[in-house]
Amino acid sequence: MTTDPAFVAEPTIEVVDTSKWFGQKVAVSNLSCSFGPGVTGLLGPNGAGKTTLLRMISGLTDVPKGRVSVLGVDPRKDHTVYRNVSLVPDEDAVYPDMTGIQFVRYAARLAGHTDNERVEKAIATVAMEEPATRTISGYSKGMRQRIKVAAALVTDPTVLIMDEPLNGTDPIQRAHLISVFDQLGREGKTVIVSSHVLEEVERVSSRVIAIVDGRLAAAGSVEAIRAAMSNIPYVVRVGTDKPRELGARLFASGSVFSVEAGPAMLTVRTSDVISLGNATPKLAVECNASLTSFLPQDESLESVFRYLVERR
Amino acid sequence: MTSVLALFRATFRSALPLKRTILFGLLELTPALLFVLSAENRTGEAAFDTLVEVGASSYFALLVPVVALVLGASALGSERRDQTLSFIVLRPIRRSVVGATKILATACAAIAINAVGAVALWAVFSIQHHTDADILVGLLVGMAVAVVAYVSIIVPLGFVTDRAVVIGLGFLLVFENGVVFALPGLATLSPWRIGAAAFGGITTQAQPILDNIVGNLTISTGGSVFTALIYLAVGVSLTGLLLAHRDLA
Repeated sequence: MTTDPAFVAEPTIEVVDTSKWFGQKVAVSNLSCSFGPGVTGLLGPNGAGKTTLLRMISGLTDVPKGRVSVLGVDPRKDHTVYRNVSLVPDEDAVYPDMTGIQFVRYAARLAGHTDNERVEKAIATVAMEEPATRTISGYSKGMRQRIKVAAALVTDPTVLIMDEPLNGTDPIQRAHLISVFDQLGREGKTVIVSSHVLEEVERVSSRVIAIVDGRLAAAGSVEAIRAAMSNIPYVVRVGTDKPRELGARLFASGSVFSVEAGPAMLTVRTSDVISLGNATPKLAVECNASLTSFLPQDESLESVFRYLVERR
Repeated sequence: MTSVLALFRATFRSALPLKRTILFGLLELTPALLFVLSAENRTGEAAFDTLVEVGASSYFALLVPVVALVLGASALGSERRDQTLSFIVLRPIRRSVVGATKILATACAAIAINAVGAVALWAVFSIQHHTDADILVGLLVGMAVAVVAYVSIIVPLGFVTDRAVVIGLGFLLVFENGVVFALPGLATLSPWRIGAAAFGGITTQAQPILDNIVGNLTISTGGSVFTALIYLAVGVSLTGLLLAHRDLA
């Protein structure tokens, strides 16, 4: 029984010590993790290596170092695996001159399926019955995303890999797609959904693999990732005319890791920006200091990920 | 089989969008027009010789290659550029079969367009002079042989570079229509000459004129078809290898 949250007990997809680079740029670096039945969120900022990882898993790009296996085989060497694997790419890999139904039917035919029933079912699953008779060139981004998902679902895959499938969807479409992903996960399919938005991944899946700079940043439940993130020392710059007095009081307040006093400015490290924000004005009044600014630094998701990578 | 047929049909259709089909369809009438202008007041053997000369110089040496190169370059190239190639290769079809289907479907589309030129040229000759089915069959078979050879080269090239059409036209105009005239020993590397040799194999009365054009190639339909099949085998293998081993990002 594995205890590392980056791995699952019964993997359908295994990524073992995998690296991939483009020229001088390392896209994926010594990454190991696995995916199993259910929905897994692949989280990371733009450029983190999510798309490269998904392309390696789906066999679109080679794996120069390490190993990737899907359903027990190397997807670059065994094309039969695509009977059970589908990819929804991030880019608009659609034929604009085809209608939605033609596109999904084409996907079915390419996999050897001739029955129209499964085409209609896939289109109905993503609620695209009405627009499916129109050409894709007239679709909104959200519609194109849904028709790509339908084309992926039409072969009834065991493994479904989706790269930012919620990009461009409106809230209603997003809620519907999330319920579809959830249902697929409940049916025992391996579903990977990548996103750079934590809240999005949180709604889609209970298990998350977070990567940044091509490396594993965190893995496990959304709660565990959030807990890990809550321990991050955020940096806040506080502008004041009495930095020494206010700094001493802030440090004594308990939720502050460190304080550096500079001319008319304090650099404060804390794990709880909100509490610091509430406490600072009161403490400023106590020491008769005036506040000129309160600027949280480094609070982007990317910086959070970087912290997690460094900590691992 | 369902998947191969679906891929074939989609490739054939995408090779012939309406505007391109109309444009090439009109261009295909050029050899017939040139023949009408050149063969004025000519009869019998002289008219036939003009047909062969016009056929070799404007149809085989220009029109057939241009159509094949343009269609072939976009067979995989445009799908790589608009990123729909991943849609095809992530299916349970061998990538060598994807390559072969792409080449054959594109060749069929190029043959369909170029058939307009062959039929038009034959029709004006038949109307003005006499009907000879061998001429039409020769033109069609020769054209098909040349198209298969060109498409087999250009489809993998189109996958590798966005400049495949420019490179292909450079090959045609500089190498085939320049260097090979000076060095006839290189004629095996000139697909349109292979096609013209196949034409001469069927339309035997054209052989004296074609002898001066096809360099050191033997005028024979069987030999030309065999050479085109070698081009096809190389093209299919190369395309399959590229699809299997290159990153499709």
